[in-house]
Amino acid sequence: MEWKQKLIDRKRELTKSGTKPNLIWLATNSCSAHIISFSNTAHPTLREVLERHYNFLFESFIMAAEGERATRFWYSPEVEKGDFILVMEGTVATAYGGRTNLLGQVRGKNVTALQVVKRLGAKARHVVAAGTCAAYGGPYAAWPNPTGSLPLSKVLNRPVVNVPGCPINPGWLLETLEHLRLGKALKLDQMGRPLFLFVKTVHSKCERLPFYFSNQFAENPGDKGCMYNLGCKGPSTRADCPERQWIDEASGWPVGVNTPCIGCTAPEFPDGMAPFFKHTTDLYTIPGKVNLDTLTAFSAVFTLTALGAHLAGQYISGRFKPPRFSGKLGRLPTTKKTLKQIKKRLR
Amino acid sequence: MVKAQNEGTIFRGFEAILEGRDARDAPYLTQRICGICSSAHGLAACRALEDAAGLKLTGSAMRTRNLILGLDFMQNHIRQFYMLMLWDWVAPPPQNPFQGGYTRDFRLSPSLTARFREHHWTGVDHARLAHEALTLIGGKIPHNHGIIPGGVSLVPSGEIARELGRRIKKLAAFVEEIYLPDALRLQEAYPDYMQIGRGRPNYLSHGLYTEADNSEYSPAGAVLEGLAAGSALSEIRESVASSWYRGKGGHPLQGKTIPDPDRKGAYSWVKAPRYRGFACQGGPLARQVIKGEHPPGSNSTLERVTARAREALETSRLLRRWLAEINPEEPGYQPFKLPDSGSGVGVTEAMRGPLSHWVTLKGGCIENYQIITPSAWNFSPADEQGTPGPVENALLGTPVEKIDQPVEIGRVIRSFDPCYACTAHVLDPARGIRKTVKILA
Repeated sequence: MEWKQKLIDRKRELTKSGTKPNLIWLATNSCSAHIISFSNTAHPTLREVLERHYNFLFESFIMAAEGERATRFWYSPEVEKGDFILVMEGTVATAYGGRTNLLGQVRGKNVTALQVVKRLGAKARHVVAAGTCAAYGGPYAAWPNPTGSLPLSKVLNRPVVNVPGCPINPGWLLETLEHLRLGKALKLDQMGRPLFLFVKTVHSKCERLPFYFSNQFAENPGDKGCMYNLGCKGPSTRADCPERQWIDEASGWPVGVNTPCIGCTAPEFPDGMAPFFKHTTDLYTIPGKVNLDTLTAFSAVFTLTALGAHLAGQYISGRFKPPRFSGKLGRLPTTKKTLKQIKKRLR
Repeated sequence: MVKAQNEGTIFRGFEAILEGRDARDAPYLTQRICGICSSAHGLAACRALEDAAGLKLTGSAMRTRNLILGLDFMQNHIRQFYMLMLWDWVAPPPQNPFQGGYTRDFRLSPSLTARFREHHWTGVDHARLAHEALTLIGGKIPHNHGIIPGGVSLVPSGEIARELGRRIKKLAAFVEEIYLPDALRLQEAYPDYMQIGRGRPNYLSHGLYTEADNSEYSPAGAVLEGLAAGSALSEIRESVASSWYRGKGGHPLQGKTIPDPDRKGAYSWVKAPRYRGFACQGGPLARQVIKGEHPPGSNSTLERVTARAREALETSRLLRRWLAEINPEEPGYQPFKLPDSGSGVGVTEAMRGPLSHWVTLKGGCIENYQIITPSAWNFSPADEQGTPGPVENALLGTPVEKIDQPVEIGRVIRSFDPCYACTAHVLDPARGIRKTVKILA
């Protein structure tokens, strides 16, 4: 709880001063979990965020405008000025020319998410990808990616701040945004994540690390103990879930309720993290799924076939001879008869 | 309004993504379909797998599942009323992002408007409170970890149960003292909306909250043209006559989802599910009609809204009972083995209507997965016979006073609690006869 208090204090400190920048929140190929999760913020509350911190120009979940009253904003002079932070949740669908994800109509014409993202993304002062989908593709870009979904950074030709998570913890996004609002330097790692959030692995701060070191592993979900044998992706996932926990005033997190971490903040989620309850990852390829089982079966069949083919080739070419006694090896005399024969020969 | 067409504008191909995956991943993955009703998807997916394996759950597992689902229901109903549909009825405060909406037909007095604006923020806080309670047993939310195939991962006891109880008590007080009275105040101020937005008297429910004797607290069933009819999952058919998909449709176990955005006559990414050929509506009102608590004939806009508030009140009482009934000694999870091949169906009520997951297994992996969401029921397009979907039907005859500010349409639509409620904001009713609603496919 000490850590939690420190977090709250840090946020208070951050939110004391600063201006009220414009913010546009765009949801494209998304499940809306990120705005819902963001509205679960308790320190500060959503009310404080909307009234004091950010001027939400557009947010389709909570805004009051509808129809062209809402959509024509994308082509307004306010957007032209480019004085806003763009937060985006969801992937950008590109299959069928983006027609699988229409955002609405402007002047009677359908507008795809692809068009709006490109337009707003080019103008924005900062671009923040909220959630694994917008940051790296996530579940909607999972194999076989039926909608041709792309993460934000592949659609826009500019740096993007990635705040992954499925969904994001409200604190992750809020603290990142506060850095931008207050003009503080935001160090990013190679994957575009804020370093101050995604530097430690879940495993390194896990409350069940003692179980790991003392070999007390859970056999089933629901057991107390280390979740490693249940396919816990904590060792390869960077997030501060064990310390921050979900959500502000309550304390729970996946391992805390006796289930493995499924690595939802990882860039390779979900394909590189599935199956969730195993450690051997499935690879999705054109001929089908490849995993450790199929690889073992394949190599066994390959070895046996190769061996068989080699033997058959030897036999057909006549080089194959069954092993037999060539007479060159010495033999121990065993019977009296053979002893006599030898003596005879020696004479 | 003389003609209405719901245009579902998102296709994400979740069913194709699930094919070939480890079946145990389905509950966690399918939650990613919807951020606001994630636990219902997790529950339906678990039930589909348990159906395939023939597993029976322990009593405390069932009650903990009820707790998780019930808390998500509370969150959804409160959020839906205060965050997603309030500004249709109450003049929004002069502040972004509540500006730029319609400005006519707000009938509440200034003092009442001020009170509703204050309640809006109280509602946001209590939606968070429900989610906070859920994280205690679900790990995180949206997309909780608590519901797993085989039961639940944690049975609340001790400190967790106390923390849960404290929050449930606060939620119950909020619903009783603020939410339900607010819904009734809307009824008083807008009496004509007790007539506007009526659809055909066809309702469907898959049953909500499992009781100790394995019965459903809110029973499964159907009411067709006002008459009670049993519920049989084999009678469900999906039509793709007006949807951008290839093929002919059929029973969901044999269903395929192959996109075809150039299909002639199609106007939606949503399929059209039908029960015995009827387009049925789902949601709190439908559940109450099937339970016999509401006359089937009347299903107007504000009746749907108050039914949701009543259900929230009932759920808050049930939550307390389940928490008291849980036996912490009983295990929540039962180890089980999935069959290598077979099929299963998992049904539940989501917040906004009937939800069903249909799975076929092969070699321990998913061979085929089909999902019928509540929004597919409510917002379905027309089928082969040209029967319109429930919302399309409810919109027929809705009087639109001013064509440039058609507030009436949004009110009717959002009373159905669209799954992707946010995007019902982005619609184009300007020409009066055609209407675009965006919902989750």
